[in-house]
Amino acid sequence: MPYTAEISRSNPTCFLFLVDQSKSMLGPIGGSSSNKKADVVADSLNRLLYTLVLRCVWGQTVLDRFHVGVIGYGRQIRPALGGGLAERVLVPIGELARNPLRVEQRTNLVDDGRGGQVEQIVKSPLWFESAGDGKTPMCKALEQAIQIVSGFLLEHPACYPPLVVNLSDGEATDGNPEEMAKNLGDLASEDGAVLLFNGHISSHASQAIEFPDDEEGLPDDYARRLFRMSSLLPPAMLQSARQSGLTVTADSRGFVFNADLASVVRFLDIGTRVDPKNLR
Amino acid sequence: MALSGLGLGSRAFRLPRQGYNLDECQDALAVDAERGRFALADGAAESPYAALWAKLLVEEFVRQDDPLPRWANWLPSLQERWLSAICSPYSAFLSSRDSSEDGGQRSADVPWYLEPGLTQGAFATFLGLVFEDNSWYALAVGDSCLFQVRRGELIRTFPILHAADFSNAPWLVGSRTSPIEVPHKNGHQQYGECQPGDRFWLMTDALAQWFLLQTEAGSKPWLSLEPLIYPGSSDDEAQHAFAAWIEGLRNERRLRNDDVTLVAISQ
Repeated sequence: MPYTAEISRSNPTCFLFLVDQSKSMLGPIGGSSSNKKADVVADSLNRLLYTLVLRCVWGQTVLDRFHVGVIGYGRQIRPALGGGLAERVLVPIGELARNPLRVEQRTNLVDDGRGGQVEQIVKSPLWFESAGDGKTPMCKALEQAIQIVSGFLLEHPACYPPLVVNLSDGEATDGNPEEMAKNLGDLASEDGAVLLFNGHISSHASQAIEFPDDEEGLPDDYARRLFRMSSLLPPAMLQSARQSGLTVTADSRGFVFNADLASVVRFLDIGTRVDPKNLR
Repeated sequence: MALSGLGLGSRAFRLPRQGYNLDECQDALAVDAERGRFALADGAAESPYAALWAKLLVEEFVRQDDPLPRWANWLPSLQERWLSAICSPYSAFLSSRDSSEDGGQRSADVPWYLEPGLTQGAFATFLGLVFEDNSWYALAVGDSCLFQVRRGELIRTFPILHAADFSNAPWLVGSRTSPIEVPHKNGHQQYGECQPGDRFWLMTDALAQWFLLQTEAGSKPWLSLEPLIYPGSSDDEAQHAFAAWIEGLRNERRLRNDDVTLVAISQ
């Protein structure tokens, strides 16, 4: 059965992020006059990487269950991790964990266990900073993803299929990316076809949509195209999505509109999870 | 190997998931056959020091005297022991956080990716079984299971009843969760009677799920387990036979690749 290979340090998979860094990303996200799409994407990606690392913590170490890459596309198409990982294409996740660009401190309010709330300082690592310049060469970015993922598949033929996550406002300027998305989806490991998920960050003021099963209800042509480019959620992910209370069907795709894709990371089956709902 | 006291015989097995070493196994078991006390725990791999927490839970349970000790009576001191047993910069960080001191300096010693897990604490499932006279008492949180077999028939299943009820987010006992939370609200207790010749099987989730799938398909999975614990074989031979059998199930993908613990008890 496809999408059942174990994700482990002896059989890692690959998580490749394609991030739209074109000028249009400097525009505001729908429903907000101040939040730039580029900043929302940077936040979303840093949160995804944060969640992904935490899912690989084992005891006191981070197991290399994933090799992670970020490719930015705008004026240039190039690796976009910052700091000590600059120019690196795929990085084992343990190395990613140890080398953020910087670690900021956030103050969260948490329950103090006695009915009140207390301020708690939480570390917030960043690997990626927002940018926006040039056009939107999404087709070329997907072409590069095909090369990177093909290389990974050669080395890890039995891996859980690599996941490619494209975060964009959807306005490709170098052609119709659907064909390149199809070529990417034609690549496969022994465990199934490569997965392409799309996070659509739009200026269109419409409510957030998560994992729809039909393009009819989507707000514009860009969203519908990104939806068609997105893979169906594999059965195990569907089950996890249902368990966390989302409404999904067998036709649901890895597509979100003005919403966070971090849940995709939670849906991957990598062992017993500490589910907050089961702690209370 | 029949033992004195209650006349219970037992054999225990504990294996890491494929590709891991035994010292990375997050399952723990404790057996005190003389006093008729047995326990299993399955540490949640994502939490730091989960194996330590699982070990503390099972060892403390078999040391207790009550058949079914109340969580509120034994969990708080165990949680303190977990805190003092973890690496010192980390326990100092948690202590400063708990007392609302300036945690900034303390936190500098803790890698960012360990902070959330340390703050949340370690988690484990738990299953404890106690024999007294002709009765047994069991305590469970999560999906580690107990099966009672009598004269070739499965007569009790606890606490998970169906193979479909396993998920990858079971109820857990936390090292920093209020003792009145999970174990109290989502713990299960059960008791029953036992007769000479009864066999009890305790197992962590992967093997328990396989066991239930077999019974639901009309098979008697304990018949596959029996030869592995055959009293005539030495413990070494039994361990090897068990490891080879588990390896076979995993390779055929009939068993999830997870830590496996099994305790067989004969009455």
